[in-house]
Amino acid sequence: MNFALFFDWSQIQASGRWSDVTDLLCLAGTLTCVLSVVVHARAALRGSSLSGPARIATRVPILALVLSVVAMGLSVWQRGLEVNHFPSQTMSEVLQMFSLAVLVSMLVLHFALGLQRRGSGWAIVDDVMMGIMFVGVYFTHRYIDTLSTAQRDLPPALQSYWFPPHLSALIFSYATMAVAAVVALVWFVTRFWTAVYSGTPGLAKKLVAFVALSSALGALGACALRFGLAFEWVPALLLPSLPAGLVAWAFVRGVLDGRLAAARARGASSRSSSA
Amino acid sequence: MGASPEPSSVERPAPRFRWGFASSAGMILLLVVAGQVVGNVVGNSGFVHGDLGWRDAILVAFALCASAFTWLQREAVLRFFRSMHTGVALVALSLVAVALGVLVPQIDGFEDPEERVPSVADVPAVVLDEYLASPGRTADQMRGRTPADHPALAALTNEQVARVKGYRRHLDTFKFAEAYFLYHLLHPYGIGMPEAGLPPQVEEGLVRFGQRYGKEEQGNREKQMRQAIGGQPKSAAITQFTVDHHDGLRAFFDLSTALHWNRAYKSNWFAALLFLLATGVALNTFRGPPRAWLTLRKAGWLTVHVGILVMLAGGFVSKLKTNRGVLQLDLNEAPQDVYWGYFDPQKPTRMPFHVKLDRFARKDWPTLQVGFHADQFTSRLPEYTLWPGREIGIDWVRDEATGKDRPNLSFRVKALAERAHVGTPRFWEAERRDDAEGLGPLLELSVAQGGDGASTRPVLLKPDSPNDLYADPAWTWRLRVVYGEGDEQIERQLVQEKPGYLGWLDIGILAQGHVEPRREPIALGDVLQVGDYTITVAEATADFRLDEQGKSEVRDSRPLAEQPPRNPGVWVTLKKRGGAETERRLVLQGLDAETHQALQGRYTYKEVGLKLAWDPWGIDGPPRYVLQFGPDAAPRLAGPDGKRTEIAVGAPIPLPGAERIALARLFHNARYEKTIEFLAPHVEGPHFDADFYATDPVGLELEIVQGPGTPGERRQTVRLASTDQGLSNLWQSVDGGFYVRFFENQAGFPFEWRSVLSIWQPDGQGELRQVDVGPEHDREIRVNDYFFHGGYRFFQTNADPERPTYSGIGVVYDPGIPIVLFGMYTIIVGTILAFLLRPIAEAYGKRRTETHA
Repeated sequence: MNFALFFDWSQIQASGRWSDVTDLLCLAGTLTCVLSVVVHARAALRGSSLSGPARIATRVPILALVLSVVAMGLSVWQRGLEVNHFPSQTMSEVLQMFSLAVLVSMLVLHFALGLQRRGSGWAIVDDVMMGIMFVGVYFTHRYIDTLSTAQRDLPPALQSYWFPPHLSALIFSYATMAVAAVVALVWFVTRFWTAVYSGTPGLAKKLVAFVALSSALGALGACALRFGLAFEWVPALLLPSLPAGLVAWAFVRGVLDGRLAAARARGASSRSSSA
Repeated sequence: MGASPEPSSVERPAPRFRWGFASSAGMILLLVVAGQVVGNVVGNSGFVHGDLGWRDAILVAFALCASAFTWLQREAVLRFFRSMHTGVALVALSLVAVALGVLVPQIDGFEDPEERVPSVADVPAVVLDEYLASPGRTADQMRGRTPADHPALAALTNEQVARVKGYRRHLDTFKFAEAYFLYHLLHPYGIGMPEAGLPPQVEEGLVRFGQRYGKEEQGNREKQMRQAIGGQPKSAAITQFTVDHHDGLRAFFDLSTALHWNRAYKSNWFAALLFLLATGVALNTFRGPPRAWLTLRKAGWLTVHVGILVMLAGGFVSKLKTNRGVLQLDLNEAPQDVYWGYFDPQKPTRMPFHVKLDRFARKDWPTLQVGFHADQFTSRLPEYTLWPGREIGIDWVRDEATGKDRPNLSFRVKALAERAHVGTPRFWEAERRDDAEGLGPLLELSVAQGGDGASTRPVLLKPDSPNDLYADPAWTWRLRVVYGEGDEQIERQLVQEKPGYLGWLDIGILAQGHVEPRREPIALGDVLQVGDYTITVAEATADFRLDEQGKSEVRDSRPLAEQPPRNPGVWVTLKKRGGAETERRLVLQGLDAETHQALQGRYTYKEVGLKLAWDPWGIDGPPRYVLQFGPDAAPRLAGPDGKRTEIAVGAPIPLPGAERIALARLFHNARYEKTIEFLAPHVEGPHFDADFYATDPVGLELEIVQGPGTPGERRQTVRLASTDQGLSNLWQSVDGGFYVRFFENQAGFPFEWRSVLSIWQPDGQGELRQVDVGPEHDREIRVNDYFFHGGYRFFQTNADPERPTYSGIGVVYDPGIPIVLFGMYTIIVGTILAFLLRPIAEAYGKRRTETHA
């Protein structure tokens, strides 16, 4: 995204403008997710509940998510008007629809799972998932920038009443699967590093799991780095492995250890007070 | 009473075998292999071919023995299928089988149960290896032996050559598909793929293009160019991959062929696997006494499983009964009862009734193009598909007041008409010779029509435009109109071109950044060197035609100079420096291969784009006449003999041949007004509309705004029609700065194809009689709207722009489809029962219980 466009977007179609607004909201949403993680982590370490400005800060990512859904919905709607058919004929249109589907799925999942209501530790998982979605949508749009956005007519085979429901179901199924994959990844990271920290599995198992996890995260990293650096896939998989593992380790070390320590401290204080 | 045996002496029953995942999967694979063998034996048996023999008796005996064994071992069979491990293994293996059919490229025409990769077991390995390792040739695509075949094939019989070529075609397709997949697997997200750069002159052209048509249009054009240029090294890398890994890919192909992986869904092993799955589902669904099958808890579960069984049964019926193909119909032909089975002309398949094509039409997208005379863009101008209400802004300028970009021209579609009638335009002389609203000089001929010449038709000729030439339909003379004075202008027109001169060839080579084509004058025998390519003009025809089937060329035997230029074309040969292959290509003026991507993609050197501009005035041909008139000069005719004859307005023009031509009117600066009447509104939606089949041009009412939003804004509404009759498809701005062209875009897929079919049956006396199967709207087909009759399903499949009366009708006979659909609907109902209604019912019951408690 070229930010200079915001000063003169007369040559950008309405769908592109709303897509750019979504990008801004996603960037802002990512930052607010990071902020929310920090706030939730501090609360988890202290074992306290949120109130006042801290509570408001953790609600801002949800607001960004809602606004992103609205902006992306308007972008897709405008695109339909611009091309005069259901906007899923070209790859750029399909990916725009995918962005909307991912955001809607995340919004539904946020309220359906209710992770924030389970405590600050679980709320971090929710924040991380939302952050990944925001980043994913932003980079999906960067990929769209490399594709042609020219209007293309619907061939006769697609001129059917079934086209919009068929494509919608298909793209939303991909989006929900993507969200499910992120949930699984976050869950796996949490469980794995919890186990590593508590020392349950043997060294060999740890190493195998570390390579598997690092490769998966590395693939995501390669996707993100595609737009900045163009190097071969092997180093692309290996390079982000270490930081990805360290981030996950830091998360477990900082948050879960803090929660456990806080729980131990609470237990000790309650025992001493009862004594 | 006998003594009971000692407990110690009683034989303890052997422990029951317990099925695990590995043993279940192993048994399933064993049964699948057996199913493949049995399927092959049955397929070759007399039960299928109708010639029973001793082998068939053995087959029956084997089937009886197998049935008896299964019955005797029914307890073990039930235990096997009802084990959880077997169920999981069956589902997992079915998924693997489905995935296999996706990951292994399926052979062309795999839906035909008889389609196979030809066997080459009897071909000497040395010959086969040499042939397969050599670069591909165009001759490989031809079924039989040709002189251009690889020399190694000379040692084989004709029948072997056909099989070896068939094997190679399948292998090459398989290799490229697998190489394409593996190449992208090794370059995720495009990492490591070649990046395409654009030459500086192209980038400059793009900037100018963007100023005219907008930044988005510029960006899209740039992306297309980069993709086209970058696609060449990528294709080369994939091709090199197939060469580097030829042995491995061929071994995998042979393995896939031997195991029927490359026709997975039509193989016997796949059918056997689905049969085992159906058996497992049935034995687990109907378990225990019937009263236990249907309970509130199990209603959804039972319905889903019954749906699965019905769906599998439908699939089995399809496997046994299905047939499909294409029915070739023509508006001018009698009803047909034979279609090409599986699209193969070698497999004619008869239906129990005849089908006739009553109506057919192809409608293309109404399209607008805007050009500026000051620009010299040799690449294609943007094409805007039109619909009512569409607005287009172009010619972007910087607004001094706001400092932002704004369009200097905007267009809005006020109305589209499915049918438009173009009346005779009204012409008159402008009051002033320099009136900017005038068209400039114009001349009208009056051409006698009919045998008696009682009626005439007007022909408008505009000097210094592509429309300045008129030729006798019999090609006995040519006439060009020029505006000016003096003999020198006439002499220039009558200069002879070099022998064999044909016109111009526009040449663009994407791989070398020649995205804007260069124009070369061509003559027969010319050899052009463009980059790495040598292009030789080998042959030409002024009237290229195909036979009624549209398959082979009908050559005009007359010399080129005597052929009327109805559909001109040239044959060129292309050779690349260092390349082994010589491509022979037909380039027709009326068919732009680059806009028909499928056609361009079939060329050997698909990166070379060629367009022909035939010169009907410059080529060798009948006598040429020049009709000159000027601001102060009376009209006069100059003939090939140098004679000048003055022509009075209204007088006949002394031209050879039978056609009578008169000079009707002439204008030094013509003003004109089109008369375009809209007869029918734009067809919307899929309902039957007789106007769709009309051959009238499409009409457009367009609002054109110059300088929108500025003090000098100028707004006007014009009508256009998609025909060049009376210049109805063109509109030019008063200042001559830009023009608008309206046309129906034939480059890609059409807006719509539609046909109306009728059914015909013999009446017992050999005559065909039409069967009443409903009104036309019930018999109309589109690509997605079918017509059903006698178990057959008909739908629009293709058409041919060169044969406007031809319509390709898809035919499917598949009695399994309704059963499969019923099974799918049953599964949907079962899912609703299981996951929506059951939880609601159970929650309601629970609340009632709690209330009573």
